[in-house]
Amino acid sequence: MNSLALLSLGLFVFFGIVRTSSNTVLAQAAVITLSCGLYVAQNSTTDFVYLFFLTQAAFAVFKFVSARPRTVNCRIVWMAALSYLAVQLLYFKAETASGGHMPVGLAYLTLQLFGIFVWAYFQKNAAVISWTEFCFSALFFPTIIAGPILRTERIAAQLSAPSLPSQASLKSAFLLICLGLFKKAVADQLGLFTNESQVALHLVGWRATLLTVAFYSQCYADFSGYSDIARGLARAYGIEIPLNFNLPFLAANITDHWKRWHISLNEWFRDYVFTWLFASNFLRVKRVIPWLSSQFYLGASIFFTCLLIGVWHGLETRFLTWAAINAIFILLHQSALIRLPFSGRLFTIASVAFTFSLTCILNLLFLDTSLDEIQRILQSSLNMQDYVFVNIHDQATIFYSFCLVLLSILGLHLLDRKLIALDYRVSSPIAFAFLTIFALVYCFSSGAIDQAFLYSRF
Amino acid sequence: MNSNREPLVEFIRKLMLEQKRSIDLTDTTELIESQILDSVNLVKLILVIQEIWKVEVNFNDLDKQNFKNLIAIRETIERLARR
Repeated sequence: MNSLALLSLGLFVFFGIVRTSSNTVLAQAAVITLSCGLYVAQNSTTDFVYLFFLTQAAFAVFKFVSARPRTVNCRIVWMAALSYLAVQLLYFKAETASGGHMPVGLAYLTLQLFGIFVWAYFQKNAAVISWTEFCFSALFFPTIIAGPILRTERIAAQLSAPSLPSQASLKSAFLLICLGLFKKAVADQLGLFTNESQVALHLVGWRATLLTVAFYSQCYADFSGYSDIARGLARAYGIEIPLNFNLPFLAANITDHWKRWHISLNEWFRDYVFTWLFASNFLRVKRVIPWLSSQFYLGASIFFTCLLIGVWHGLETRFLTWAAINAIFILLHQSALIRLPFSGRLFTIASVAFTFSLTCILNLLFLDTSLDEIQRILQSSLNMQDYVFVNIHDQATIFYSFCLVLLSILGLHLLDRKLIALDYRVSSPIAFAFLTIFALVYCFSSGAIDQAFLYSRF
Repeated sequence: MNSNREPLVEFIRKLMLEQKRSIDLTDTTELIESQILDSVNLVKLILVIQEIWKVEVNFNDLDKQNFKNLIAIRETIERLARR
């Protein structure tokens, strides 16, 4: 819990500075310093030095590109900067795939800087973003390690009109942080179970299915928990970060799932890759390949966007497989949309159940194990002959475990549904006190928060 | 620029048919807000605009406000054609 203690200390120092000074630049500088301190405390100084200098170089490029008309020189610098970001990310992903090291948070920072370069090149109004605002959004400590991916221009717009958070916002921020910690504790409990399942020698039938569902729930609780903490901390600073998970268990198809899961990443790829890089260049590509049809180009754009999302997760066969299968299902869904004659409530329920099962299975590719092992788990899940109980004790254990996992899914889903509808602003003091006390008691009594967040490994 | 309307309306009607929507399509029907133009359908529209009107699209033009209804789309196409 050292990082939590450091965060509390940081918040205390920050609010001390903000409340005693009306100088917003000083307040922003305090947050940047806090980011440095926290990152170095949790990770390594070398990594932070790299991220810091990358941000400084990015700011120089940003100023250069945005202050000049789109001349050849400007275009060369811009293209070189974008290429550097892409090559650097690929290099580190390749390093990680071969057992090397990548600075924590670099993948998120790369996307953020790429986005601001594109924005600066086309919008040309960089004067609105100062150095402190740029560094603040690039190195903002709640999001630097595992997102959500911020849009620098949007954060800068909020910073340029600073306002101290209201009491209601502070309450809601506290609730978000507690909720995030609670989800993390649930995730770590599920993590203990999935770790045990992985080492079990007889991981067949029910146990294999259980692992599949439990791991998906663990990923959701872990990552959405982290996102909630990040949003809560940002809200305490008077900054709004968009929702990163919007009830993904309710997704009615795979396209819908991508709109609900890790929203900041998928929206980034939608805006900068799918729409800008691919769609807006259709006519230019068609001039080179005259036979190209818009239907084919759309399919190819979907496929390559998914593949790039896979590459972003890692240059490993399992991530590329995950991305390719997702792309195939999105394409199938897009073509089936026209022909499927079904509709109605029953069809929606069946669609949600199918999508949930599919995403559970695909999520197995994120298990830190070999493709062969994942294939074996899947085969066993699908083989009805493996669905047997050794004895009554085995039956009871499996039943208990299934109840635990399903309760976790249902509980987290219902909690999120209620709180998202309220924008995490619970007006009733009793409900607020109950939620926060329950969350904190659960976290600290289980003593479960001792594992790193899953998504910080990307 | 009435020539813009026909293929546009036809395209949006086709999308609505695919989505089994039965609302009346007017010039001011909200296309983004009502999810008729979701991310994939918006890209389909951008491809169709490039293909039919032979206009180049930049990052600036991809603002959702430019596609919020038929009037906005028509204005966007006119602006792109003038460029």
